[in-house]
Amino acid sequence: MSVPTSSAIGLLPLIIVALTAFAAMFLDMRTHPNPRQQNTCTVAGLLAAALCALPLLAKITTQSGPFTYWEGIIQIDYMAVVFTVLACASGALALLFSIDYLQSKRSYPGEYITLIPFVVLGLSLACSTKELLTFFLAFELMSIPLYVMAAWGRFDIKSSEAGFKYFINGAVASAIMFYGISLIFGSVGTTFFDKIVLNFDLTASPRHAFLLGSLMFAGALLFKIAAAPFHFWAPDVYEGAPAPAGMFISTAPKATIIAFLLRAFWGTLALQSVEFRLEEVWSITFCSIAILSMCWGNLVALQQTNIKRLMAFSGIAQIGYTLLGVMASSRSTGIAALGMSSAIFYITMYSFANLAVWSIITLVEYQRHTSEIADYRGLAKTNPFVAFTLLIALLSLASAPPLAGFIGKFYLFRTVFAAHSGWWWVVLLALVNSVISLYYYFGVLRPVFFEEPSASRGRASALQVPWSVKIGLAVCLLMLIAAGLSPWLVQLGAEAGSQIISVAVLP
Amino acid sequence: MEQLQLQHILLVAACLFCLGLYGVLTRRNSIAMLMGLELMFNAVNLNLVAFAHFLPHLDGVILAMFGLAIAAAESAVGIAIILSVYRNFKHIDTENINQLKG
Repeated sequence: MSVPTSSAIGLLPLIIVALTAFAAMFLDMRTHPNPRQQNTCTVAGLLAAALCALPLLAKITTQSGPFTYWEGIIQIDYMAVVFTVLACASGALALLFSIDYLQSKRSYPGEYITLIPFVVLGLSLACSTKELLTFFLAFELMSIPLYVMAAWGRFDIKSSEAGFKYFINGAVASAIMFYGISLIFGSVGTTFFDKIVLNFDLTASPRHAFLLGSLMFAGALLFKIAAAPFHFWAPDVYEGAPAPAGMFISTAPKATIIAFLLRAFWGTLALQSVEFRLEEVWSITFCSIAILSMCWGNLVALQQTNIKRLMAFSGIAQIGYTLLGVMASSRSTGIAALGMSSAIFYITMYSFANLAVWSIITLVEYQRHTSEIADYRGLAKTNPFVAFTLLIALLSLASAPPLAGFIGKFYLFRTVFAAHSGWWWVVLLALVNSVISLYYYFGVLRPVFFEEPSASRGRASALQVPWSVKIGLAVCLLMLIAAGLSPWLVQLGAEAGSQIISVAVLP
Repeated sequence: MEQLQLQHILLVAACLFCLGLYGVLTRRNSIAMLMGLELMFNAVNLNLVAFAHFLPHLDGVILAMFGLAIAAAESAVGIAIILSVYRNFKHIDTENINQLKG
């Protein structure tokens, strides 16, 4: 099947990201590379890709349908566009936040700057595909550079260890995912989503091989988003990796994989037949993993003194809330589009809040050489803007009204309750968990606002905040406040969900 | 004599996969862990080639070829990271790579 020339415009964002990645690589291969210039070019390329993706939203309305290329290897729909823009934006923000950190260290800045657009390419492919092999390739394209980014601090013993741990755990997850794909392929004879559904109904497929395959596949995905009980790598990797790497590992990949989970587990891998009701299996699986992640993440976060480890456990808990939205978007609930939209909104807002917090961790790490919460004391006196951003971002994560996190959580819990009134106890548990999380987020804010700057080791002086970081923080703040006040992103998410539902092939 | 069936090959592949996983989980030497990983990826390839032969679908061979490329890329990056661990720790014994708590 060939692509009509008129519709090739849907591939433009992916092409621009790919070109940016290669341009970044070649800029770095000159005799006298200039990291700052390379950084500016890469940010410009990623922003150009995001700007090319946004007009596509008008072209892929519910009537005209999404752009589909090569029988669904790539499908550019609302979901793909939203998460491509999110990936490009987080890539650009991560580069803006980290350039000064990178130049202050002995390791080579060009490597980090080159790897970011490659990860973004993997992410944009992963959220646009409806085929398992393409997804696996995109998944590897994003994972392998992330291992290298975690090990970026070559002269730092902790960074090497973090990279090593991330690599071994991640590679085992990849192998398990690949084994799962081979079982799915073996039982239905195809890797295309639409054909999986059709073939499964036509043939007497070996159902338990299919179930085992999709369980292994889901396990690897849940590993990558650090959902309990697959989270054991996260605290060590986040603590040991350089702060810019931790910033990127904890945001965009998680969002993209949630998008793919929604796409794959609505209809395709959650097949329903008379004697084989996979949807119930997935409801129970996602529900138990969500509860485990929320409780484990929040309770362990209470004991942390290092802000990077705290953010790791907070991320585990946040993924738990998001999985509630994934659970609510199963077909049997009848409000799948709302479930998807709540998960999409929540994970998007989590990404922006997390980027803001990690940018401050980055600033403190290279200027004060610490990531202990106690060393943040008095930040409000020395850097009011930075402290204010930290306040807004953490309050959004803790879901204080009227910020985006509050709207997201309200919407999420309401959807879960509406999906199945028997799930009221899950919502109650999530509410209790939100209250617990307030405690440790305020544990960070207390030294920042209510303690004097410590005079020792030059920590009383103000942090230098470069203009690039100021712009990035302003963007994050704008998103967190604006998205809390206007529901446009919620509507976009609902559109994305209903479009996936309308074009999916049903058994 | 009994013909070679699909399930025989799948069984061998499953055994190889478990052996590889066992190797990754128990070996103390990082390079040996990498070998366990390779074993896991190759077990999957064996699976795919068997499916391609018995179903018959050429797609399985294509999947296996991509699998080979991915496994090569993984181990190239893995060896580079192990090298960086060796430079910092002066050994690659996983029991003693424990600067981070957890």
